[in-house]
Amino acid sequence: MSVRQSAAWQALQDHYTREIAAGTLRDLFQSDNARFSQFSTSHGDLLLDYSKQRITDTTMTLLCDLLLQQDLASWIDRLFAGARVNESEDRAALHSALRAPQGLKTRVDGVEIGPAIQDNLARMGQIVARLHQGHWRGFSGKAITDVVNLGVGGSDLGPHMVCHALEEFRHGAAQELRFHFVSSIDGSQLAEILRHLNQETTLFIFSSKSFTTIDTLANAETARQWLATKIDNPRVLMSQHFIGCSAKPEKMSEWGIPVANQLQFWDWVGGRYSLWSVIGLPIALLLGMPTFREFLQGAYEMDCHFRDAPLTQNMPVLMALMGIWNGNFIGVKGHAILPYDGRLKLFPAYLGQLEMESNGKSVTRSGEGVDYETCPILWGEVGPNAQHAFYQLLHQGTQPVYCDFLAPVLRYQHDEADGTHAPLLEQQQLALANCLAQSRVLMLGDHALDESQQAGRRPDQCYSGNQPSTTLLYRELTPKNLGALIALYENKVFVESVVWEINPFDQWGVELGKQIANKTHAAMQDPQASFGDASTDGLLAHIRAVAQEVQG
Amino acid sequence: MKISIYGCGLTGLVTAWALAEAGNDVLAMPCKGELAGALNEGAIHVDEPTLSGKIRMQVEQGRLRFSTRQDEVFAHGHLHFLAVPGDYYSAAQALLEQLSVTVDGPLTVINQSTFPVGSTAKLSDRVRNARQACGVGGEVDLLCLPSFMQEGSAIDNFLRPNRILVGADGGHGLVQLKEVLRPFNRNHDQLMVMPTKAAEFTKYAINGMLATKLSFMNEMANLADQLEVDIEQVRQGVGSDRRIGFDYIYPGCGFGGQSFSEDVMTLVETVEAKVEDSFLLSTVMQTNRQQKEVLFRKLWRYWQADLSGRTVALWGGAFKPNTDSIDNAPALMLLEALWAQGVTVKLYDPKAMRSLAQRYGARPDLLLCDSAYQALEGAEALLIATEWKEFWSPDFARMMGLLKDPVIFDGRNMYDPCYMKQLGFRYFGVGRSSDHCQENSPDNSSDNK
Repeated sequence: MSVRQSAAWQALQDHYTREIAAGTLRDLFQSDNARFSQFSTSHGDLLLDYSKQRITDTTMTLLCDLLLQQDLASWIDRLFAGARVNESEDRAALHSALRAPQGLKTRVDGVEIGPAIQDNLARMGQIVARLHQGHWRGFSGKAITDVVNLGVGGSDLGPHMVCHALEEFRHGAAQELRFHFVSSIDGSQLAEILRHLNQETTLFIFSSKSFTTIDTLANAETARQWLATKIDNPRVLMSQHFIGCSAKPEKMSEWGIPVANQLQFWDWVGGRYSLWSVIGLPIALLLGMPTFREFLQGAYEMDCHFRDAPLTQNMPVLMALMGIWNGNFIGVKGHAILPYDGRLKLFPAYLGQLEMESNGKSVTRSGEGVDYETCPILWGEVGPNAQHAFYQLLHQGTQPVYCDFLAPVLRYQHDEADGTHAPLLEQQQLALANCLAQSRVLMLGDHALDESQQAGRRPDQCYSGNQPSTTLLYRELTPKNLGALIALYENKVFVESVVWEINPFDQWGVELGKQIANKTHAAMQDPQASFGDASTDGLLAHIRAVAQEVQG
Repeated sequence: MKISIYGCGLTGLVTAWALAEAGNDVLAMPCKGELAGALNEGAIHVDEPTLSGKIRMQVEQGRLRFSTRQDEVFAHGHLHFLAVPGDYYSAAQALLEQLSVTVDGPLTVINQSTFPVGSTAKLSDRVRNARQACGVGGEVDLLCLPSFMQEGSAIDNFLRPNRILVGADGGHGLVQLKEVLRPFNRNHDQLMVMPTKAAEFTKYAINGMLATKLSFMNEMANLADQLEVDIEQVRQGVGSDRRIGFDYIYPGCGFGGQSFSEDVMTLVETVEAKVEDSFLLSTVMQTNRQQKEVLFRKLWRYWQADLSGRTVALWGGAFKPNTDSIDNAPALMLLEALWAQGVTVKLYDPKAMRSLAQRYGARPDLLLCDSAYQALEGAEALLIATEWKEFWSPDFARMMGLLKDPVIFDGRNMYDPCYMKQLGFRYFGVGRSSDHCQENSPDNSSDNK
């Protein structure tokens, strides 16, 4: 039986039709002054306000019933205990273990994993120290100044997003280090940066869980050839200019990475959950190990909150419930992530992978097709910038969208460029004002104005409102708070998957494209090859014609 | 005249001695770490030839005394000389504020310390404000007398200056300072007077120019390595051009010897907060920093980055010959770079062994040796960081026997690459090496400093 047929689901469906569908957010606020205190919760430095969602007391009760029915508590226990919750790959999903403090007793295949985790963190710490002290040297003996992360997907998005967000927490000894992130298979980023970098002082981090990802292999091969123009000795090239981060040590060795330069993580860490592992090396290099550990600590504390807090005060649970409610009952198909914080510019793209690769699925754990919606289309942008871009659609388009507004309460508490402290504080106030204004206009539409101002406007100047949103305020953006924020979304994704009865830890949907790309690549070498579909054949013919024109 | 001097480093001591010898009554107060009792015995901790004896003589004759009693030193002088280290700015400011409110009447302070440009004027304002706040009367005048003393010839520099640069902003003190400097300004008037800020900036510009010269020559040496020419020949050719001259064009592995002390180089990095950095000078400083690791980089390339578990000999730890001081010595960076790669270092220095032992303590990868030859036993290479006299003409045959691999990295360009090649060594200097020595090529590099 599909969860859709279940009693809890049906009760929600019924509740929606009878009590919510016809009403508006404005009505809800007018009939209840206490919505904020009722529908907001805080934990640590985070405050979650979900009162601008189309919910009532009854909604929350029924949603919690659904979680009870789906046996969320035991799923959480199994997740953290290292059960094989990733059934299709027969693995645990223990990213939470990576951020747990020392002394963790969790076992995988009968072996305690705590020591291996701590050991690799320690080895990562040694590498960080060598680079910070200027003792990691290139082939000519000069200290490394540029670190290039070669990785794609989870090996890129997480470290890149966090390094961008936490630049102001750069470690004193990392002042001279520059970080570059290279991901795309077409070599775009690499082509650009290699024109400016010096082989003497450039170190590549080759990050790939499987170490067979063609995108990263292609970039690494280009990097290797670039290095080889200056470095005759292949041993020196590898030992001084490449570090490998992977779950496959034997593959790293095969590619030529010396054992001393290999950092390891494990099958039971999903790629999109790997920034807590040695894949986080760029983050650790930027922040230094003590601050990297604060980042882990923030996530760990969020895990504890997730495991211990009752459902109605449990932030990941509440956020997941808002996703379920909007997607499955109200019928919203779009989810926008809108940080009012330029440092989180890459956060929406990061969540794009976390949510859509995890829950963008249509077959249940038991192998049946779903007859309900799963993950919505998720996208986002720095809020104030998006106001000048796609907010038009949010306010007046035909698609219902639910939004997550994120903003820091405090900013610019430390050092800024001379003469900018006061104006920057003012800019932070402007950002907050915009954040609050937008969620209010989405909720109320024209009613955000006084009655007198509402009259006499053309239809195309009107706003219908009633677009739901959640606002997440963090006291300040710190390594610890960012760790908590990421873990919040990770755990939220898990809760949704439990309701939808899907496995959030595999990603079979990205496999076929890889296979066919390999075949296509091989076929492209053969001038007679045909794919048997007119479109692909036609495109390939055009590509060949242009190439011949250039060669001819 | 009664003179008070604050700070007993090289500048303070030479000034104190010279003024005492000229008949003044001098009372000097040491900074932190400088001991008054020892100073009264003539035990100074700067290594300046003959200075110690000269100071003892003035102490015996009663014209020079050292005291740590601030009130006594404040009350003593008609003229107060400030000669503290460059990083004592805030301490100096506190000292002067206190001085200005402790004594009343006209106050004259001569600043010899190397602070950032504009500091004398800034201190002057602080002192005036302090007096005003406490209601103490009397004019205050702060002048500056930038020090151009070079270690090793500091006494001569003070007694027979080729010019005396004085910064004065129009107060009463200039007359007093001129009077006190009269004995050192006799041949012809070498006194150049300009506003304090201009005088400070002149010193900055001079140091910047010299650093540029030195750094440029180091860069030429690195190019010479790649072009396979001998930098020593090039140096002589360049120096013979009278517009350039021979000073500050010796390439090497870092500062020391007749080059700059680190203190002076730091000055080049501090103009004023609101002034744009000099692009040229920041590049010069960057090049200079890189140069300190030049020996390490040569060794690194020689062994193709495979250093772990090896043993090398290092001759010289002091930042220059004839001193036990290791402050900012290039050898320190070298040691730390080598250790970080897992190299064991057998070290010999004629004077600085104790300073080195104190700094690093006992560690398995540092072996302190009793002689230059002992350091070579079992070492796979010799590195030279300080040009001590006893290293100039060692027993090469004996060295050949002791070294596991007869290879020498010489940061001071002491030996003749072609001769070393004949002896069977591989020899790498800075901008010259035995690899680039053609057989039967004329050797023009025999004159050493």
